[in-house]
Amino acid sequence: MSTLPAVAIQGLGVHYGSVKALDGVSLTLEAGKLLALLGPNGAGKTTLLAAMLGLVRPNQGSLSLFGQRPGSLAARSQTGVMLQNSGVPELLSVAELVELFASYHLDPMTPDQAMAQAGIKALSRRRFGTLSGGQKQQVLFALAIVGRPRLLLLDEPSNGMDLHARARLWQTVQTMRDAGTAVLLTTHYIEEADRLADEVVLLDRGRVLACDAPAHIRSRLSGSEIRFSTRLDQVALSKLLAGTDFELSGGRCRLLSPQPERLLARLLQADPDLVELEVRPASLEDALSALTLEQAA
Amino acid sequence: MNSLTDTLPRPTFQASSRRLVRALAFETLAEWRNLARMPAFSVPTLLFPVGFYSMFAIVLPFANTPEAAATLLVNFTIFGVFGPGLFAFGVGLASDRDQGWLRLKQAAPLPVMVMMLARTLGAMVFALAVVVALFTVAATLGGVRLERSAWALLALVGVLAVIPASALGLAFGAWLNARAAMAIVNIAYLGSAVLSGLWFPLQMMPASVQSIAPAMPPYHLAELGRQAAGLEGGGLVYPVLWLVFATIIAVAVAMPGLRRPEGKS
Repeated sequence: MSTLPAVAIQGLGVHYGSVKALDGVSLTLEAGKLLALLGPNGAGKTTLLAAMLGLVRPNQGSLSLFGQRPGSLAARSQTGVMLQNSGVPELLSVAELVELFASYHLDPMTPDQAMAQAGIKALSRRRFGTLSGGQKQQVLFALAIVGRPRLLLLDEPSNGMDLHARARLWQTVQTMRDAGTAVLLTTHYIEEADRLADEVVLLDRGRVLACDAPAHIRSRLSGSEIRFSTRLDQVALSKLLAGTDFELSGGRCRLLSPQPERLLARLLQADPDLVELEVRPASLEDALSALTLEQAA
Repeated sequence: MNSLTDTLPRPTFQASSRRLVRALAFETLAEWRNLARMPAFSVPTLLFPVGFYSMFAIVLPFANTPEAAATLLVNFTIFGVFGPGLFAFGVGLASDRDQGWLRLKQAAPLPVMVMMLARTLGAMVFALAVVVALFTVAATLGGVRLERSAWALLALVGVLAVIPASALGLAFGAWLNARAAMAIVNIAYLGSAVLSGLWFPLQMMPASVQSIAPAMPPYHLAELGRQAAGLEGGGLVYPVLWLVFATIIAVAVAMPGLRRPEGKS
């Protein structure tokens, strides 16, 4: 018996004229896993989501959701979607919108359940146009989950939400993931990806730069972040650190190194008066920006 | 082994048709609520036909014979019912796409046909409201006297006129952005009404206008309306076939616009 992944993408290419928005992207997402898609603006995240929804046609490669063609009714029935900048008819109330989306599905939650899980029960009678940015995001989240999807695609879901709303969102997402829903999300909040994701995919200029567990990406790439105050100047440091990027301002230096021990030995030898030394594990953000820079060089 | 992902559940035919009917009902309700709560749509849609009809038929002395009175009612009925479908699709669809609402719906498991049908039904409810308002004014202040069957048939023509109007609106809405759609659909609406002889009798118009009138959908709808009101014979076949054909052409023009790739207009 074969098990079909929620998302299977092989060598996907999407070209807009001569621009390659996606270039040979491959990834797999299994049921009950959460994949975070990260990357700078223009990396191709939105194009990748649009391709999964069947809204753009790939020029090469293959893409299937539960073995179905993206955009097909069968694929759409299994998928809950939250897109960026979704304008919703402002004159409809929250409950009317959730009810409407529930009616599209075979076995939906009740609108009350969906609103409760999205934390918007108190807003049910408000018209969409009167809500704040974060509240609108919560309504869009309710629309995404009301059909009990087996695949959840979330584009910057926590944008504009306050801390409380964000915590509630992630709690619901985790509960759904634990119940077997596959989740793919893009986010600017890298610490969210670090905490929640089973796997992180780093996308840059249409290509996959890294695809691994957050902890592996962190350890594999940067090792540690080092900070210290020194009397050495730019030229002396450049010579000493040969090849390692660093930032120096007002005698305070910051750098990332995969092997901090050796570097520190050299530094302390050159400047015995070096003070305010801090060494800590690099964050996922550091690791990702190092990766992106490395690729650009 | 995770049996969840082995195969997709195949819904039974009954379950899927029940879902479609439910989705159509809720979608139509949402369309109707959205249109009714939008004063920029609902006020002119209702007030313009009633206002213009009252001016021509009651204030000005154009309804000087029973036939003239009935003809004016037919003309302004067609004018009034052509608007809702044309604007709901022409402007409504364009702004739904500009706002990203259309994209979210295209990603939802809602067949595109259901979405279109719901919008047409929502516009039909509006057309019916226009018909009721016009008929009330016509039967009271306008002095229009028709057979009961003639009132019913004219109302039926009015509601069905929403279909070609919606198709035409779809062709505009599929290709234009919201701003352009607002301007162009208004011009098309008022222009086709004048060129079809809905406002002034065609006999009063220059020969050039008379010759292009038969290219306008409202011209053929008005002909059906006059037949419904018992004002003339002439047969249904030609105008009905013309309108069916125009509807098919308009939908065919719209399709590639609806399917065009994201971000390209």
